[in-house]
Amino acid sequence: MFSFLKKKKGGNVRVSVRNLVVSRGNKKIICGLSFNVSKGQIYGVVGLSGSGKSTVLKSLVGLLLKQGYVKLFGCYGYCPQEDAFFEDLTVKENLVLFGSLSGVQEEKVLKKGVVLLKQLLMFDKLDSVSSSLSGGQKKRLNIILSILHSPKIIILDEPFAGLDYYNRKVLWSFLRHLKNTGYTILLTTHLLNEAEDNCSEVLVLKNGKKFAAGSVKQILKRRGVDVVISLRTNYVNKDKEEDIKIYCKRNKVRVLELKKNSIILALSYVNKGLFYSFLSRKKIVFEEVFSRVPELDDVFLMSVENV
Amino acid sequence: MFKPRTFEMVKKEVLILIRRRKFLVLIILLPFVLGGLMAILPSLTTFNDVKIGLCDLDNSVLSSRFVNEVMSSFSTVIFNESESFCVEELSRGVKSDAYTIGIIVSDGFESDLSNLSKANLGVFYDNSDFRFETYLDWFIYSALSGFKTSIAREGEIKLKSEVEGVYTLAVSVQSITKGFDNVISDNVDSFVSTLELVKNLDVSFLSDPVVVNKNGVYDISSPSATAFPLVVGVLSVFTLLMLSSTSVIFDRKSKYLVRIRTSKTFLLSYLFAKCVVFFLVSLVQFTILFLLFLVLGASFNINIIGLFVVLILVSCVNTLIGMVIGFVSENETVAILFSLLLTLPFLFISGIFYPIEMFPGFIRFFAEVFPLKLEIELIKSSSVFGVHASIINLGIYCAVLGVVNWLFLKLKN
Repeated sequence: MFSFLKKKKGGNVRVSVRNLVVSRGNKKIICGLSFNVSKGQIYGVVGLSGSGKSTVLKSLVGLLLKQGYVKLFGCYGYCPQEDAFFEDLTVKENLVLFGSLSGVQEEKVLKKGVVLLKQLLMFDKLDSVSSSLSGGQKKRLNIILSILHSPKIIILDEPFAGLDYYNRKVLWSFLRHLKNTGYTILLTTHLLNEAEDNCSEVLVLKNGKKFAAGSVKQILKRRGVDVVISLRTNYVNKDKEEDIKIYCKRNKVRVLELKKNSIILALSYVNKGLFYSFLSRKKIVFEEVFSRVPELDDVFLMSVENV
Repeated sequence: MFKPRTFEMVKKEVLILIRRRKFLVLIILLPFVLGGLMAILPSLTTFNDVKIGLCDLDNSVLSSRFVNEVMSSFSTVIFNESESFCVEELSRGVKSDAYTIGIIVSDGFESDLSNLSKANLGVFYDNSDFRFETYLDWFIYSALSGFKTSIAREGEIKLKSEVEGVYTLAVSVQSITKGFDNVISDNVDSFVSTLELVKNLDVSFLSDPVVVNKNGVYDISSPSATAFPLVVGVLSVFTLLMLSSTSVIFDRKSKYLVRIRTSKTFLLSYLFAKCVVFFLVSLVQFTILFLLFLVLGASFNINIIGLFVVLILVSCVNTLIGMVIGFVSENETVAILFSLLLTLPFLFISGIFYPIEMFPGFIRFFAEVFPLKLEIELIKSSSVFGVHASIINLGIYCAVLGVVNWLFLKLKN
């Protein structure tokens, strides 16, 4: 009878966003965004620079004024894009300081901190002054400081920015480990291939709005894309270019690239055959044809090319 | 659930302060420098370093006496040249800083004084410096007071000896005219009375008819202690505005504020922690100043509880003002400039250079409620007079500034 009084725990959902609007002055940065992040996921938010990725994360944790419904089911840890610790202090001192800010006792902080440092291959840096750390190590420390209090939800803003391949590999491995131990991770990144490999689902933003959301397969299926074909031709003149564009528009074929001697299209298997017939009718000859499984890069290109 | 983490934040502030040794040195050194200057300088002030250029055009006994008195108190260069040369030389000397003041003893100096007429002295000074007028008045008073007193005394003796003769004659006439007609007798009696007045006249009455007895309304045993509240107030404003504003910038740059806002921490804890830490800084500086003044001979009448409360409020207000500066400044350089920009008018409006009573009405009203003025008055009450004073005004400042800072913390991107 009094079930409505019980605090809603969100079930399988850890982050719920409905009609999120964030404005700066008269300009809307985020326009009516809605998405959910399920428990135990790594959820990636991707998009062009300026599409609003960091703004979404900042509004989730209350750093920006917002309208709409935002609910985080459980405590969270936020890691900003910039290094958020004191460079004058040692790693240990930073752990204790920020751990205490999150309400964790010094002993527990150090215990947990040491474990995390070991996992991120930084154990030998415990007594080093933070300013002496490399860029990759600073990023790792930044993340560690955000999760000392064992939050249910970890929100990371561009955790891979400026990192080399090795550091990214270490970090992705760490995040997968966290996910497997029950954490829910929400992050932004520019690295589409790595996001596709590691994220359970992605949200593709364009101009502050949702362009696509879900797993890469789901996104592509919804858009009727089964395959990406690359065609290399000796010459496509303007008339033929126009014909191709009209055909693609009518038949829901996504043009990812259209140049004089190359075309990249994303389309369904059915449309693939029909498209080859169209090309032969128009007497457009191609020297090379490649087809491949579509990727998150292609979804991203679709958002850029507005298809 | 949100929790206060004041103690943890205080620890962080202290740790950062200790790591930034240059700030620590500044905190310790400033009270010594400022306090030392304010406490020592007044007692070390001498007149011997004042250089005088003096031209005696009279070359008389009296003028020489004047010259010797000036030479005994000040470092003096004497000229015995023509008037035109003296005027030119003394003007040139004052302009080139060879002399602080130039004096010309006019021709006829002695004869004027001997005839009980006013004698003339010409004084040359730097009138391009508005502060020099006050200094000049003091100098003239100092240089002439001894000489004036001796001249007045000699004039009195001379006058009275002349009057004595006439008085004796008049008394003789009075004794003769006693039995005469009333009119003649009355006139002689009146004349003798007048001569008695003149005989008993204090000549200094003529130069200074009204004696002013200055009575300070407070029982202050140590005048140097009255400089103490001023130094404490100025030092607190200067130090805390800069330190607290730059600390906010530092926290913003290191994203400490982001961490606070995204953790379950009361934002007020951040403000409170800053106030606590900078109160401790103020306490250290206060202690250094207090001991310095004690060593240099000042004595105080301390109301300990009152002083403690006042120090808390003073450091709180100055810290919160500094934090507002930190929130509106883009970087540490701007914050420091902004702090200096505020400190200087604070000093002027608080009556440190000119008494507030000299300000026009509308500025005086504003000055009466200015934070630094209130701070100095409260420190004076509790350290010099040993009494409680009303802390409501400063309390209101604290509350308002606290709200402003909280809003900045909450809303600033």
